[in-house]
Amino acid sequence: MGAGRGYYEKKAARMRIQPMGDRALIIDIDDADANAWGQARVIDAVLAVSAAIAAAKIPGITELVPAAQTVVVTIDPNHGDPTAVHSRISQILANPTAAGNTSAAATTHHHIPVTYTGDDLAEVAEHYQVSVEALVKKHTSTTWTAAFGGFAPGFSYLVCDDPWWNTPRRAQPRPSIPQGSVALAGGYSGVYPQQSPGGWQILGFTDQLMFDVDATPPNLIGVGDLVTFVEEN
Amino acid sequence: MSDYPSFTILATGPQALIEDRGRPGHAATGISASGHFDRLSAARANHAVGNTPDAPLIESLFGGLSFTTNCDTYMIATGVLATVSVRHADGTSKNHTTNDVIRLFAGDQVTLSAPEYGLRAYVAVRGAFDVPQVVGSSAFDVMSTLGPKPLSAGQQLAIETTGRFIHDPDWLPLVSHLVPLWKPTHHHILKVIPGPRDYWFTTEAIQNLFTQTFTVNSSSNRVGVRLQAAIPLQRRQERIGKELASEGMVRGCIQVPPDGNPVIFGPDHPVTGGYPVIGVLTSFSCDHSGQLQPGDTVQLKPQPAGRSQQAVGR
Repeated sequence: MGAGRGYYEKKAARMRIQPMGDRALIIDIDDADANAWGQARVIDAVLAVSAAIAAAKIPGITELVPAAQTVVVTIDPNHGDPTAVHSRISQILANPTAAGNTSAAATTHHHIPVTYTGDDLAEVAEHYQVSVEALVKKHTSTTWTAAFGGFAPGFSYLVCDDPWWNTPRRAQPRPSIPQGSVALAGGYSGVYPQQSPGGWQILGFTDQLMFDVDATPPNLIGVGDLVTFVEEN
Repeated sequence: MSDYPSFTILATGPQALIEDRGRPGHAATGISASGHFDRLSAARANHAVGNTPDAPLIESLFGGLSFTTNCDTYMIATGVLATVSVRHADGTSKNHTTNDVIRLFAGDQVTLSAPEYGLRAYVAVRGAFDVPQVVGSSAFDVMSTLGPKPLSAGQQLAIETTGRFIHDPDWLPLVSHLVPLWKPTHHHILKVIPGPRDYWFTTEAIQNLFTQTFTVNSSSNRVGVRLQAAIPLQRRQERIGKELASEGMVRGCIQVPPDGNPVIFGPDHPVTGGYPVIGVLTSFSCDHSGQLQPGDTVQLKPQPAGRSQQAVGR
């Protein structure tokens, strides 16, 4: 096939940029990269890198898609040169900047009303060895940050600073989770914007719309926004 | 019959959707770019009838689309090889083929046959279809269901009269017939740029990727083309049972779930995914992949990434 012997070896290089087809790049970020960017967690480095690329206003970039450990950059060859984009991004990655601090930008702080009557409340409380009341109190007193979206229109993966949160996903995903379900998985909180299958643990429900096609923008929560859940009775 | 220029849909075949160039720029909020599957054929269709490239048109899956027109106009159907029969109000009829620029007169009834080769026909009318936009586009996304709903029998499709999708008001057709873009075949060669997660797979799997013949599954759709692998693609031992943290996806990504049968992402692909991507189709092959009939066979060939796209170490 023409690929060298080392091609399939695990690459040791950090902050790799690789092509993803002919119109996209994917950037891998690990713990060492997080250190280099002055961030405690990989997800913070992902957002810092994403912010730095956005700030550079490189012509031709159509999408920046941050995720847990990667940033995907899509390029429109009619508006930018993929070669130039790749070089420019390499430069940015070689020069970590704490100036990519997203909290400097104006963000919205959402207060989302929740009735904590989810099916998984007791099981999750049991996992954390706390009472249901204590679990709810902890969820509502945490300030969550929208790290990235992706699985469905209007869905945001919410993260926080407290490493206490580490909720196992359900062994068997449910075929249908109601719209507005407020749920946990791993270190994340999230609200299901529409009915869909899912494997997250459901704590409760909100009537607040996460996604409205007629609104601009249609998604309630944007990347970098803050979220506080408020218990409703 | 209404006063405004329109087509009345009589039949839709398996599926007929409004598509345009999609809604890029919202991936970070989980909205896929969507848009035409075979972008080249759609562009050619619009160009052939003197429309701008962003004019909404019909993406017809496997033919069976039939409609009448209440106005004189021009149309084309391209992307597949099929018959386009036109029956006039006086009872006479004429058989055209796809790739013909067809002059239509008020009262004509047009029927697109199931394609002999290819899957999705792009049907453009001079001036474009007047349809609403959702999140900046008239494209229908089958996964999120954003956009104007799939066409149904009895529906009236208005034709744009304001001219906003027209290049030149004095336009007349430059050509009467387009050269077909795709080779008429049921065995296809698609080009793949390897990676980014090719290192999840055994050396043998990578070889098999590029030597075996895959079969297109009938469960394929705009979300993804599902291929049946004669030899399922195996992960390296240390990767078996492991999960990949969800990462951004693009059209053309060849995702390999644990069963080893690859899925090639189409325009309505999920924005993020957790199965390793062994390679990504070139843009040209992405468009080609929209024309694979269920049961067709596919071989994949490697295309090295350009010089600009080599992996960069630090």
